[in-house]
Amino acid sequence: MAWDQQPEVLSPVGRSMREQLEEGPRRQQLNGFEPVYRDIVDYIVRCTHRIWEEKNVGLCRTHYSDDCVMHTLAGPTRGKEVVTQNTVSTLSTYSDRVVLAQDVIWSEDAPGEYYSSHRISSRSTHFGDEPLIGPATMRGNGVTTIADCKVVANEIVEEWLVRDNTTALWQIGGDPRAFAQAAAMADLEGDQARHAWRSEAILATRTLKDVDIEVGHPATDFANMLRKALIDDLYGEAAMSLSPCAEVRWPSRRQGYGRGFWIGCLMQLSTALHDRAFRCEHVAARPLPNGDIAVALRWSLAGVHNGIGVWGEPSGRELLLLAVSHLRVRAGLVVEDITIFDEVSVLRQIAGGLGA
Amino acid sequence: MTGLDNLRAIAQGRRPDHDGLLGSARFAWGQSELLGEEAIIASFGAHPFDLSHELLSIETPTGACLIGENHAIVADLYDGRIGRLWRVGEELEEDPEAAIDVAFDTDLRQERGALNFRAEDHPDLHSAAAENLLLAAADLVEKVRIGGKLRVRAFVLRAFGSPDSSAALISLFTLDNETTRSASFAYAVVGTSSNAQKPIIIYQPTQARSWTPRL
Repeated sequence: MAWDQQPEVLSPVGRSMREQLEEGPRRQQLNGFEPVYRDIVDYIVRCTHRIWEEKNVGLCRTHYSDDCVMHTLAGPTRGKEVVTQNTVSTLSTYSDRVVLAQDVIWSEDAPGEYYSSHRISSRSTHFGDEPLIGPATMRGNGVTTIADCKVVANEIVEEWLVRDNTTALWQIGGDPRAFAQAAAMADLEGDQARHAWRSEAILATRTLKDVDIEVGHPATDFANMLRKALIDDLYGEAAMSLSPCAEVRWPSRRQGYGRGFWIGCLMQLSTALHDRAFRCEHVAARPLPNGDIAVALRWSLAGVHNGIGVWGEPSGRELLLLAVSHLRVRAGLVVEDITIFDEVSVLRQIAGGLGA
Repeated sequence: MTGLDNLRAIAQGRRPDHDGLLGSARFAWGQSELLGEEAIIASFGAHPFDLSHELLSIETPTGACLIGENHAIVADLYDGRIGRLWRVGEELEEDPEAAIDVAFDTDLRQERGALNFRAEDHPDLHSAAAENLLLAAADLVEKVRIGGKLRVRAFVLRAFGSPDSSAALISLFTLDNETTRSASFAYAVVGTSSNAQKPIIIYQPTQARSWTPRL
């Protein structure tokens, strides 16, 4: 399906939650989905609301497949019972978590197989104790997550979750380095075969080609932009795909404006990681209000940590990074780049965790 | 309710009717950002925005701006409802939040340019208004530079209005001219009106935090 078909399936951008949760007839054919869902955006927003805000966590059992895999940079989990239990645990700590849908950028990659890239700002209070972080701090927090889901017949069959965990830790008074170090120490115990996923993912990034992008798709230029910067080191050429005033928001509260700032963010990765491999794993795009276009790119980066820089002294370890970029495109150029990856899990690899 | 009605309600810490402030809205003030309607209303409730000396108010399909004597609010609009807000001026003195700083070049060339602007980014800015607005922004840059900065660069983030009245939200990057330089971004608002003899400028530098380009 072409990226701009079915314009009646609206982005959440500019719409109130009341409008988004209005019940009514189907706006899109959804075979095998519960009747309450009107389209794939509604499925994502409404089931998130039902699970997280209405606290009907058991709906994970009807909204995730038995063998669904959830990929994060801290390692994959498998099965809907794990998803259910993790959601209960998070809600017992952050009980008032509200999940604000900033956007859902989707595609139908095969008949009946949907892919959604859901950018969430979640806001909550650190009400409960956590095993790794410690006692409740009662601090408020607000953090950006992007959840990419492959959805078939009412079930999420695979998910890629990226979260700005550095900011999340900072907000509750945590130290990302100390957290990463403790997690890495735990990773070194037990059967190391459980970390095999990481070397497999690095191999995939190094050997598999980019996802095929249909001719004329708005993501084409921006996938090339990332490759041009991260692999060809042609940062200036790459940055010409951005407005000179583009807003750049990267994890760990990197926030600035303009092409130079964007280059600075990319160079922090390129300086630290040598012998880099980049892979664009998925793209989607949808129309936004006022003629803008939302583009989602899921990408991975592998490289050897041989450069001093943003992550400190070089560890010599090969690192993996899983990222999702949400771009707002206006008149052909990026006016907003929101990129998320879990930088705490990068530190954890540097400390020898996750099998690194 | 118009976008300006919604802005005025929020300014007083009141929740606008009819979802006038979207639940997913984001609000920037100084170096902090709040997420969601509840936190935004609470912030304005604790620190109301004084509307008694309104110098300029503008609303277009995609943006609205209220400018008072020493402060301004700019909003992104969707059918009059607010999706994003910036409050400029009269900032709270709070410790800056932790962040990774990014080393970067503002210009990408030897010929330095003080003002970054792309007309296509601002479909609601009448072309006849753009010139005056950009002159006002350039004037702000020059004033800040003369104040002792090595480098001042303006990035025009939002601009809208007619030849009669227009406004722009700007991010101003400054680099000090000291032996040890400090760098920061801060928001500014400039407004022009055919009723006013000179442009209105609202700018309050932010407190530069220690430079930490590492995690």
